[in-house]
Amino acid sequence: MSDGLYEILALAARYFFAGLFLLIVVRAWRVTVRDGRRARKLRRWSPQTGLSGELVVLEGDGRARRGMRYPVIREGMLGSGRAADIRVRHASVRARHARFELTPEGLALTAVSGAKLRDGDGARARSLLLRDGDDFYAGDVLLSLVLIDASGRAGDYEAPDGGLFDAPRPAAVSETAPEDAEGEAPQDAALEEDAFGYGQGGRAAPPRSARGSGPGAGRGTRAAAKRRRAPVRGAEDSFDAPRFERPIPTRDMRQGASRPARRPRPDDGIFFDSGDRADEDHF
Amino acid sequence: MKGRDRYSSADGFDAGAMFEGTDAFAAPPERPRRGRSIENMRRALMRSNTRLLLSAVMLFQFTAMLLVALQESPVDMQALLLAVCLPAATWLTTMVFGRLWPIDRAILILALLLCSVGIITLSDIARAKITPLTQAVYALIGLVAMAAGVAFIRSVRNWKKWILPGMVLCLGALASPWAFGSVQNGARNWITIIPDQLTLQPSEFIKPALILILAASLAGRPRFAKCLPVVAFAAVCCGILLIQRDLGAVLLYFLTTILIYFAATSNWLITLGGLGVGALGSIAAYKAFPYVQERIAIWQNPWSDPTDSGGQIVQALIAIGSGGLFGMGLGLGRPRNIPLYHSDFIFAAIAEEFGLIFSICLLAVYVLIIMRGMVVAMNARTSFHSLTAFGIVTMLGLQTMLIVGGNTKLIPLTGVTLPLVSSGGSSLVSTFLSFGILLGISSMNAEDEARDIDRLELREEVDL
Repeated sequence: MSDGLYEILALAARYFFAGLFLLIVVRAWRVTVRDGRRARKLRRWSPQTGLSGELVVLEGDGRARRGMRYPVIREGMLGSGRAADIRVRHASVRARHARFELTPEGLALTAVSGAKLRDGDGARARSLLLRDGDDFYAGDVLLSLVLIDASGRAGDYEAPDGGLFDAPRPAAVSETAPEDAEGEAPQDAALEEDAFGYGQGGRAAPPRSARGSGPGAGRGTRAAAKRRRAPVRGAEDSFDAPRFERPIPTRDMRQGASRPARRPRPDDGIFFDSGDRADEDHF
Repeated sequence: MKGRDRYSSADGFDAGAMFEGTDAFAAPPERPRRGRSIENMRRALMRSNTRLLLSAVMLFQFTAMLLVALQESPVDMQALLLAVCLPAATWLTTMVFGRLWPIDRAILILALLLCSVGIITLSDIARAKITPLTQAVYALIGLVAMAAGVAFIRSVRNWKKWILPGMVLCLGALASPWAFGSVQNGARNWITIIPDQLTLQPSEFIKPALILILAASLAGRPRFAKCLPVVAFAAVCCGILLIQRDLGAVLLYFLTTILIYFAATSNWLITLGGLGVGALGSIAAYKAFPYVQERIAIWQNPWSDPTDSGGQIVQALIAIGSGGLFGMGLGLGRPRNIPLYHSDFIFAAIAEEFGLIFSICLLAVYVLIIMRGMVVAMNARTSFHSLTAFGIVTMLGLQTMLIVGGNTKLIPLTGVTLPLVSSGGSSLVSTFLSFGILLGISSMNAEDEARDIDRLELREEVDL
């Protein structure tokens, strides 16, 4: 190609290259903005994105009262300080109390030097390995861990607390007849249970400690909800089971005393599903 | 993640109090409208399509190399070969990496674009024909290093135990030029592998290692006392590089360490203290080393000696000014008048041939990579990965700022390269390795996100 022709071509091409590069930058910018919108949408629809579970206060007072829930990320610091990833505001909890980290075995909790960390039975510990449903004391606050992805599958184990947090089955016969036929008696019994799902004896299993958690100790709460998916025919008419609520049991309650949950209002089914889909965490 | 909404606030929320005194049934939590199908939801949460971006990049590579090939008579066969191989390699790399791992394809495509800009520019301006071919070979090695980086960051779990061996290895590598190294461009930081043919710059490969060591040591927000070993390690590295007269690397290591430390601990006092120590060190270096004084003097007034020591900056400024908005045209400029036009001053050469708009777009590409890298860092699920991603993009941004600032006389010139663009095997391979680590972290984020979407779908299925 002659020099003159190449010069014309090169001079024309510079506008083409500038325009093309501009297009590349604009396109990459749009991709970035769209990905940001997508991520915000996901966080809005699923606020627990990035969370491993939550810590529920079973015993506490003041700002760390019973019922408080703290979302748990994969790793971080538990304490009362502003910089803590889980901020339990209680006088007995230090600013940097314990370090936690999610491992395949569970949530590993390691006390920062001198901080008071005890397992569910009250025994002092420097480090704990918590599984789904385990309790522990951070200072004087009793916390229970709920993991989103609990180990173990539904039906692999028997919940040692007698299904404390499982939603009771309604009285009507479900569409999945064979299994329900076998469990008909327990379902009837479940109707007579209180909100905590105690058996006929009305006696709960002793609370589990963090140390004593066995290999199959993952809670089947969500797994149980997954099992019972099919809506029960006619349940609305004859349904007499406690409506969805998760009262946090105290030690006294767990040792036998119980109270029934509130009875459902007629229009409860619109906003809160009862029975099979009652066990939802709005976190 | 903290405080993003009331459900994920670190201060927790009282589920019971949420319903006290209110009609809880009237305000169910925010969630997708009932009736939205799973398919619609999945589509709304899918990543953006990067096909148009990839096509535009491939078109640029092909047309630019074709123009370079047509510059000579007869046609430059090497450039013609690269005109076919560059787009093919870009497409193949994107497809293969995208199939193997759920990486951030936009970052990969933009990185390959930058690499191809370097190869195209070198094909045009390099005196020796071997230079662009060598750069292409180094790029191929870099792609292998990138794949290794992805696999590496995804596979290793226990990072803490590698801190001490890593430190020892890095210090040994940095000190190795004293044992069997050579002086190049006034700095003794090169190792000769094959005399006059193959040299290696260890400080380039220490960069990703430094970031990994810093991230592993500072993950978990340790107290200052526990940070002292890694801070001392970084200080020793800077000292070695200062003695080897590699000022650019010193500045890069120092600033990266400070920024990673601040990101890990949010400790203003120590960070500002570190900056203060750095400033004092700079003053001490200025007083102690004559070459530092010379650099500062030339930066202040390059026109005082435009043909000798100030010639680099003067020629670079003239080249950038000559380019105008759209450049002089590929092959029509005179970038060879600039000393070190293929490495330190390649940005000036690009500005001369392609113009100011193109150069600004090139910087915008770096900014986009840094932005996406920051998103990767923020979405990482562990503090180690978060700090690593942050460190990689920080170092990339700092390096770009240092060299572009030096080219345009904003700051004194330092001997760093424009990442992925400048000629130089060590720099290219180590930068690709860093990108591999970044892409590996992005792939882990994507997998975690997919799990979250599955959970959301499961809940929607239960709902529906």
